[in-house]
Amino acid sequence: MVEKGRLVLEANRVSKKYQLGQMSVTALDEVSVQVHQGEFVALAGSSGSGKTTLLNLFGCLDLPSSGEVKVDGVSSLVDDDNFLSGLRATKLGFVFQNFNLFQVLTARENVEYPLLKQKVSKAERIERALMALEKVGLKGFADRRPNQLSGGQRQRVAIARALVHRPVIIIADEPTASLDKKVAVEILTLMRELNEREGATIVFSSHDPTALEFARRTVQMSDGRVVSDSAQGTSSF
Amino acid sequence: MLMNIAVRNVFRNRRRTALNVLMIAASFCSIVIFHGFSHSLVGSLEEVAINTQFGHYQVATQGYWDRDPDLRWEQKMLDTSRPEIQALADHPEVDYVSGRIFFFGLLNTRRTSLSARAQAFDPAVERRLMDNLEIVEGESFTGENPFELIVGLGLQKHISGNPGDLITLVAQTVDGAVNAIDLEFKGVFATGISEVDDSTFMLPLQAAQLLLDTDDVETLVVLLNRADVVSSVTADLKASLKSFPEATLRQWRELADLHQQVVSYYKVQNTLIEGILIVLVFLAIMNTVSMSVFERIGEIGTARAIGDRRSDILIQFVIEGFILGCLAVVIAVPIAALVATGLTSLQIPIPLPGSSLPYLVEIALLPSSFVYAGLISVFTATMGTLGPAFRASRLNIVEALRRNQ
Ligand SMILES: Nc1ncnc2c1ncn2[C@@H]1O[C@H](COP(=O)(O)OP(=O)(O)OP(=O)(O)O)[C@@H](O)[C@H]1O
Ligand SMILES: [Mg+2]
Repeated sequence: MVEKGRLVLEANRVSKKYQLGQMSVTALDEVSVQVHQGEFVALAGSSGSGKTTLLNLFGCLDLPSSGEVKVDGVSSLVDDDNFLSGLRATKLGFVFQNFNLFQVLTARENVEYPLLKQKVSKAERIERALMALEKVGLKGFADRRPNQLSGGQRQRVAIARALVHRPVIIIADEPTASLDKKVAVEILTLMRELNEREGATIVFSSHDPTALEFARRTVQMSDGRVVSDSAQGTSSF
Repeated sequence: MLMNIAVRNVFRNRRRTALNVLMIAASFCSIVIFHGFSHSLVGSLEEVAINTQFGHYQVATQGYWDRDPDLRWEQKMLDTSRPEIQALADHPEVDYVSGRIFFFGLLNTRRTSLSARAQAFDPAVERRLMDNLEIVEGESFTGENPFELIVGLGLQKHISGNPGDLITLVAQTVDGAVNAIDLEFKGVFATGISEVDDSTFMLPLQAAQLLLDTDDVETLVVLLNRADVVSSVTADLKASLKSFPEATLRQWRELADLHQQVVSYYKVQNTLIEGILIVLVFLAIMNTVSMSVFERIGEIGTARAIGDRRSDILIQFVIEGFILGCLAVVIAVPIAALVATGLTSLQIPIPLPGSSLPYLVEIALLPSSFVYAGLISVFTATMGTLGPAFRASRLNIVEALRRNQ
């Protein structure tokens, strides 16, 4: 097994309950997961098992009903929306199932967006955005609008946007669910490469068994609980 | 880049943006045009009021202004032979100074006898009054003979006389004695103000002084060459009357109650119109931004997820409203100028009360009202975004993100 890096993400006995009228739905039930720097983790599980809920808590998009989530040692249990925005802006990168690019912005401008939250000069912003696009294999597509790109290309732009500000961790909820199989493999390969070459820490969810083969560790969920957590020593690579 | 994004978002839905811009532009034009119209109209009303009634100033004794009941008429009259009056007339900005007397007299024709209000002035000096006096029947003062009389249109109906008739005017002299003179009925005037036309007749000052047995006048009207020097000349004129303490100078605005009412009426009207337009623009923008927020919920979720603060979202939408407002103003400025000039060039005549000369509709192009309308438009468009923008900024991130499906 690879040596473990610094602890960058942890869920400590995290529960999430939703109130639906009289009924209480437990989406997460005392889940504890730790992610270290350099890991490439897949969250697996059937629909409704709680993958998205957990990733939302990891991403500080939502707060747990009980328990605690820490990103890079910082707890998300603070009653300060601006603080959480800052946490997301600096320490986290997001990739979404439907790419979620800003339609009015070009590929390069989309990638620049997270850098607007930081004190980065315009020249550096552009340079870093172009570099990030190059890393995801989109050199030459900088000036395209999202609607001028294929699904796979859009997701590449989204990945570039998620890593341009050098976050501690990238969170990807179903990053390949909207792509056909071949393109999905390309995206997963890219993510794996970024993990290996750039040392990007990535947690993604998927219910596609082939996607899980790319991860180096799989956290299996069911009914809001972690049912298994296993490292793949030898992957399909 | 924030500005850049906002501009692109504004142009995202061109039809909606065009509608909004048009709406704001139309209200901008309305404000500019209403301001320009009332400014010109009030200006003309002022001119008529000055020319026909008040002059730029009037001089009279304090007793006259106070309508002091303890003073006899004679004591309220002004001695026009004083050198101070001459000094007043000699001021370089003064066009003319002329005396007037108002009194009640009995008009006797062959068949009727009727009490009416007399206005005595000097037709040879008071050119501006003569120019604005509309004669609807017969003719005006000829100037050859002081024993002439013109009668208000409404009053004529009661005295059953016609131009050419001889009328005997009976009145009390300043000392209280009864006196009478014969005057030739020359013509009928109409000021458009019925209170005046129904009760007033006019005669030359010379005849009136003879009838009233006086060399004095009640008031002196002072006309300046230009109206815009009123404020700067006042002190001068007051100074030249210093050695004549009985004579008090009053600016026309102090005397013109009705005129001031008209001015404030237009102010109220303009404010009302502005208020309605502001509300309309505000609601339109609010509606548009609400729609736009609704369509962009997913995007807002994404922006919040990747680190935008609530305030960033708020500002984004507010900037879009600001841009809409600015865009509309830029477009509306030439349109308003064009429409105003066009309307003025149509020379639409409307009657002005108090003047024989019809008023041609004029829309003044006032830089101040352009600035004012511009500020109001941009401000309202910006403020209209606040409500929906605030709601956008408070959206639940997880729920907003789900809209990206
Ligand atoms: N806002 C909500 N209100 C009520 N229940 C919710 C809400 N969000 C999630 N849930 C419930 O929580 C449970 C976990 O949902 P979650 O979306 O995390 O599952 P998932 O593993 O991501 O599923 P999928 O593979 O379909 O994306 C489900 O039973 C779901 O119905
Ligand atoms: Mg999910």
